Amino acid sequence: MSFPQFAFNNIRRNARSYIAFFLSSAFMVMVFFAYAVFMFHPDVTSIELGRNSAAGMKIASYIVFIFAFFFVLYSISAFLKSRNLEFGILTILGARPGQINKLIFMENMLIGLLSILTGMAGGLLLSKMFLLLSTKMIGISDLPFYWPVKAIMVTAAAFLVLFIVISAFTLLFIRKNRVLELLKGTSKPKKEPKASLLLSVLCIALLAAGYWAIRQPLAPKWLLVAAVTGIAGTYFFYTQLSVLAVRLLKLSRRRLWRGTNLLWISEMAYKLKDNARMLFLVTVVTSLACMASSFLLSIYNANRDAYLNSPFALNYTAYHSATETEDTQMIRGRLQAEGIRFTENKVDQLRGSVLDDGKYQMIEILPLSRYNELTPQMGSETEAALPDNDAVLVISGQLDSEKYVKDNRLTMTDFPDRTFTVRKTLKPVIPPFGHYASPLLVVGDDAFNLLSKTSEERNRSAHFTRYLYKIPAWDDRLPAADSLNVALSSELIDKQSDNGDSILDTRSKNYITTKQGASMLGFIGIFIALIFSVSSASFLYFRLHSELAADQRMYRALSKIGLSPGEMSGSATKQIALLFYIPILVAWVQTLVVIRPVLNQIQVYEITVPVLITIGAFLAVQTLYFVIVRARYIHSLKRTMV
Amino acid sequence: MNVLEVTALSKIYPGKISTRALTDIHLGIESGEFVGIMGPSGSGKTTLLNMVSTIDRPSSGEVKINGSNPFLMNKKELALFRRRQLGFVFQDFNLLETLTVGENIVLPLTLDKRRLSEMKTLLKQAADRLGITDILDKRIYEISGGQRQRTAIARAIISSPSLILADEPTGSLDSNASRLVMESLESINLSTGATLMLVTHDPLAASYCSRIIFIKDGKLAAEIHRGESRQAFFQKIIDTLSFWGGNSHELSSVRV
Repeated sequence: MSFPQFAFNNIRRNARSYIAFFLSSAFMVMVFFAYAVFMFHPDVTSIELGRNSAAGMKIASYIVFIFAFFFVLYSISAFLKSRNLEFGILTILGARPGQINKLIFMENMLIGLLSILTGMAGGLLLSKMFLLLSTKMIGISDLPFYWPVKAIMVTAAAFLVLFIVISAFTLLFIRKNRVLELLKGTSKPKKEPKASLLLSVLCIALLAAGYWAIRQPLAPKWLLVAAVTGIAGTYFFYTQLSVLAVRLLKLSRRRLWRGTNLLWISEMAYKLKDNARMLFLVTVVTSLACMASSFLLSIYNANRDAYLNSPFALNYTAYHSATETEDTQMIRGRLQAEGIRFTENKVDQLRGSVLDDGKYQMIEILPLSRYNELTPQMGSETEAALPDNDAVLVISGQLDSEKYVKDNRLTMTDFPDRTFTVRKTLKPVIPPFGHYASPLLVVGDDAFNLLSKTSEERNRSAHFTRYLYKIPAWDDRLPAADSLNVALSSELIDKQSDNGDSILDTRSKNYITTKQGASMLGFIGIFIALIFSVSSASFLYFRLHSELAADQRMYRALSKIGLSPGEMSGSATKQIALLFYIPILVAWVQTLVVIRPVLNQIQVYEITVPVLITIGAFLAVQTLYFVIVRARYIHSLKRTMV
Repeated sequence: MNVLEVTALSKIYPGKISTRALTDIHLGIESGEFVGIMGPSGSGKTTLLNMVSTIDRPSSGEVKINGSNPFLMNKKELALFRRRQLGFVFQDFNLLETLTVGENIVLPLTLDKRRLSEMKTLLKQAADRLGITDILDKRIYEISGGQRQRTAIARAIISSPSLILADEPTGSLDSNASRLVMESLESINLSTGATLMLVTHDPLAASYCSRIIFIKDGKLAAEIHRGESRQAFFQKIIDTLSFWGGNSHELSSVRV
């Protein structure tokens, strides 16, 4: 029997103990691969993601990889621990350390290669199924199946390196142990980690730095800084906090020495370091999944609100355009031909700008009388008369009105000899003339006429005309992608003259474009979140599974001295529940902290509800896992109790 | 009154070839007695102990501890029964690595949700009795085998059980630690009047008992009582063992 044969037979005949290690490695490869398939999907790479989303996806892939690294490292060390006896026997039979190293290395690589192949096959199947499902369910046929050469190469290379590094790592593990320890299979219990002032300060500093970085102007650089500091901070948070928590729990003997408290608290303290690492990993993964889904849900909601709150279906703006009459006739003609009831409002306006911090901010000016005529259609209140230089500012709730108004006063660079007093500032969710319209300054009719005259005396007039089309049948209901509403809007946009002096903005086209972009990202997001949540749960399960034998021994001994099955179940449940729910809690806080400033910067403000919904979903899924894992675990413990 | 009452106890391990481990055992232990069970390997002494300690069910016959039959109880009652009526000392200690020595000892009381002040007093008493007061705050891996076994004994006696069961308590200890452990058990028996049942095949350990029951091939074989001298009792044990063990030349017997 040659040495490679020995290694091979070892795996073949010992399949039972290798299978857990193999499956967990293959699972991680599958997760990473499925992610890579999406990341390198030609249609995804071609979406206008922008630098920040691209950076976000990159960071997520790093996190997946780090997670995979720890997951595999953890399963290897658990697996090797169960084989200490074998290594001990080999050593006393006279195997050189080099030979044992070679054996472990060969075994690891063999399993590694197998799991890479299996994982990729599984990942291919999984992503294919998911693509099919997304196409069937929502009807976006945007993501066809492709042969993911790049994903295959990246995954294979990354995990080959991973397995080589980890094999080298495990050799260090083994070399440290004495033969006696190997034979007896016992190692000295880990010392309780101490809380360190330095590390606590570092932890706070890191978290603060992350908090600060996420509030900087959105840029890949800052996102990366926030991710790194945030993750490192979370790690120290757990290692330091868990020490503190256990110390607090142990503080009162009256509480500690009561019922099964003594059992589970000591057990937690004993496994503190492992637990802290575990909670950390699960938290990071859960946070990532929560952030991705909250992000998408928020965008989806904001898009929906934008549609429902825009008063006008079509918005044609002409800047002294020669084709103004032609275009509006075409729009009217098409609407009438389709038998759609509509109201056309022709609005003459002026443009102006305000200087703020060296930047010109555009502003639109409208006479009060016209504004009040439009209010019934916009669903807003009419404004009282505006004498002299009084004005009302209508500005999107997402913009900072202080950029325009200083001390209730507003002066435009185009009309420097006139300063308006802003009597009232209105902040509707969506400004009446569309999402992307500039703030609207409503002034008295006399003031408007004067401004208009000033403007006409200059070379280039500040006059422009809007045609706002109110279509009641299209309000209040979100259009489907294949509805007349969307089809007609697209047609009108295509048909308008393309001379650069006029623009047709339709709310349904805006809505559908954003929705399709978001739903494709959304599917990827849900897929990733799903994978992450399953992988974190399986990580927890694997962790529990690897400790099952020791726990069974302990509870068996305890049942002999009179621990009832109910008390065992209570003690074990508490431990499992802490492992399952603490990460969810921390992930929720992290998601709220991170997602708010990021979304605020891309002008999405309604965040709490989406985050609550996502976290609720995660809580539900996690509870499902918890119930299953707990039942299985307690069932196996109960079997050994006498 | 008998603390332990075993009547017509039989145990058959079913299987392709069923094994008869115990046949028609009758046994009674009075309050305050220190009874040893001896016999060669495979004689059924551990099976007997498992039945008495309610860990294993008899095939037929009855075990009564303090007048109640533990095999008629449900799991929860059984756990309570073990906690309050029985004390266990095992060969491999069965102490929890995660707890300190003191915490290990009070564990049965904490499970019972006793008052803290009561637990502290009882812990002090038990630790004093076994001479382990100094090491109460140590962790299990920091103390020696003998200290571990004395910790286990302290845990067994802290709830003042009706019956203390010891399974080869000196099995993994050196002679000096064995002597200390057996002396502790004896002094507990003498000073508190606790009832003890000890399973061992170490004649030296057995010589601390007041009565020894020999089992061979699943049946009661002999019974000897201790007189005044432990030395003479030890010799008697050796003789009985060599007689019932079959190979009289196995042990070098020293005639007094």
